Amino acid sequence: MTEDSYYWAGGRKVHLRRVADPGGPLARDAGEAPVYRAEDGSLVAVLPEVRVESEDPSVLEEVTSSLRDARVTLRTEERLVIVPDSGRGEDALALANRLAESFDLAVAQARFRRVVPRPDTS
Amino acid sequence: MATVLEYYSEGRKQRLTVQGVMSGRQRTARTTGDPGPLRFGSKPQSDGQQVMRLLAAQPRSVLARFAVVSDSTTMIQPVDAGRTALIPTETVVVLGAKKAELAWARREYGLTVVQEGSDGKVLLSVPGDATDGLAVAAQAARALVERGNVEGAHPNFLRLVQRPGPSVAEAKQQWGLDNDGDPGVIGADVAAEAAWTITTGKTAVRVAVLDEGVDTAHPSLAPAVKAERDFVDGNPTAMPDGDDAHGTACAGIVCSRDPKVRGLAPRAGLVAARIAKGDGGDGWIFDDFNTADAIDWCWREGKADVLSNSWGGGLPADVITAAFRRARNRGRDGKGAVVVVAAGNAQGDVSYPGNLPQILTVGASNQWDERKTIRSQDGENWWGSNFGKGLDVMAPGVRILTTDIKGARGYSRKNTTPRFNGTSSATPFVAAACALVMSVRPDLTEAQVRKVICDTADHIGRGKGEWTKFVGHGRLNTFEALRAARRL
Repeated sequence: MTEDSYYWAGGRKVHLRRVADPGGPLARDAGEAPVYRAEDGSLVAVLPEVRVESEDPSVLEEVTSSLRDARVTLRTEERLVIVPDSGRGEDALALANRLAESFDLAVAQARFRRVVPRPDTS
Repeated sequence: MATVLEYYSEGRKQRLTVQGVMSGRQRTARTTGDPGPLRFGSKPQSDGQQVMRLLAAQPRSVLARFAVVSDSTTMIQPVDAGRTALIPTETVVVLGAKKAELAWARREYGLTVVQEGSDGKVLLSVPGDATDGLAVAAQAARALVERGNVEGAHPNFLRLVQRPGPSVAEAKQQWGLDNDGDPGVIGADVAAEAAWTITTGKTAVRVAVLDEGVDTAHPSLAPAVKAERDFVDGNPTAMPDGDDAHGTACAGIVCSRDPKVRGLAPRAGLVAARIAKGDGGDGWIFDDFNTADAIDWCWREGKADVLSNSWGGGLPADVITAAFRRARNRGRDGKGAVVVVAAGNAQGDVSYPGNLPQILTVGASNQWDERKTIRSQDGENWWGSNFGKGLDVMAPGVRILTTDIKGARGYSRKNTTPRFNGTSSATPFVAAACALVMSVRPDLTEAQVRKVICDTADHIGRGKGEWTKFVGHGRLNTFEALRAARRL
């Protein structure tokens, strides 16, 4: 089982490779969340939450209307926070990708928890 | 035998007596192709004079900076001129000379053009075989003035300027603020002492440090704290966990009020946002959404004017990109908050989010005004400053003295550390400089502030002053930025 995936950032598709048994502090921190290794080698855990942003309220309305098996948990003038009913990170990733590919949005991203190199060289 | 040098300056003849001739051998870039390390040695002698000796071949960056070194074996000769030690060279600065006059100088004195500066400045050098190059340079300068065909001409000097202030030992350590050249190159700093003659910042101007927490109870930082929040664990303060000392060090570079370990903007306000935590090893764990929320909070609730981000790497995230965009567009009641981001320490491409447009991305320079690389003269061979597309300016990033968390879990056992480094340390210098600019010109937009910082940077490295992928626009010069801002 690989379940490789991707997400959109800056209009570019970023590929993610599923890590079956990541171990380490990220896995401990992320609990049951699926963990992927990105193109640059870094690890990301995908949490079951999607953030959508647009300055056009009508677009956010359309997004809300399109939701299946997911619910809006926070709504502001420019932002929606959406949680998949399954509570699975994989579904959040798929939902974010579907929304990014279907609507003109400033942001449609699943919630990532990531490990980056400590910026400390001292 | 004492040597007397006469030249014209400010419309009258100046007379300087060389007070001593020191032993030593000088080598120059014109006579050597040696790529070896280049430095000035400078040490006081028992009679109070200064000896400056060229220890090895000059790199181009230093030549560009001083442009005074000749290829003779003449000894360095200090001249006492009040508080400033002048070191005459075998070169002449000429202002406003036409080609015919330069040709005359060549015929009469053998002077050749070694450098053309801005605004009609030309640097001429005496012939390498001149028996007394210093005297020839002075004589030629006098003759050019007396002929009346130039705006000015005088020997070119190196200057050793004595500074007032704290003890030499303490001042030496904050080389990023004021570099006395030991080690390194005099003036390879952010020109803090000069900048502070204009402003040390205003408390109403706030810099946000987004990091792994800031010790907001630190005695050097606590008076500056205006707002704080923990976006990792939801605590009411931005206090770091365990050995997470990075953010406290960054904050000190911005606004430490310790007179011995001073921040660049010591009167500015501080907003602390904890966005990450250590993973127990070499990594940081952080959450994109929390980080985006922290960015929004800093300019909206924290009223930050500048966002200092000494972090980066990993994949891009649209939520973070969008949050930075909002800060730039909506912060400061629409004038925009300046976003400052570290370039990264892998000696490769500028990392995300430093590669975003319309922010200030900061690389690291060292005491010699070099881009920090694994082979630069500072000796820290385990890291190098990222470079390339997106790089804007450089700032000091090696062995920076700053604040530290208390106890043995910090960088040192004291509540200060002399060893902080990386583009992480360079970034808060630039953030602080932006705060100083906003202190004198709060009406400027974030784009104007960014432009002032870039336009006034001192060029270092190769090239002729234009942007380069290695050093961007050059090394931060806070004083020049403030002067330029006031003129806008």
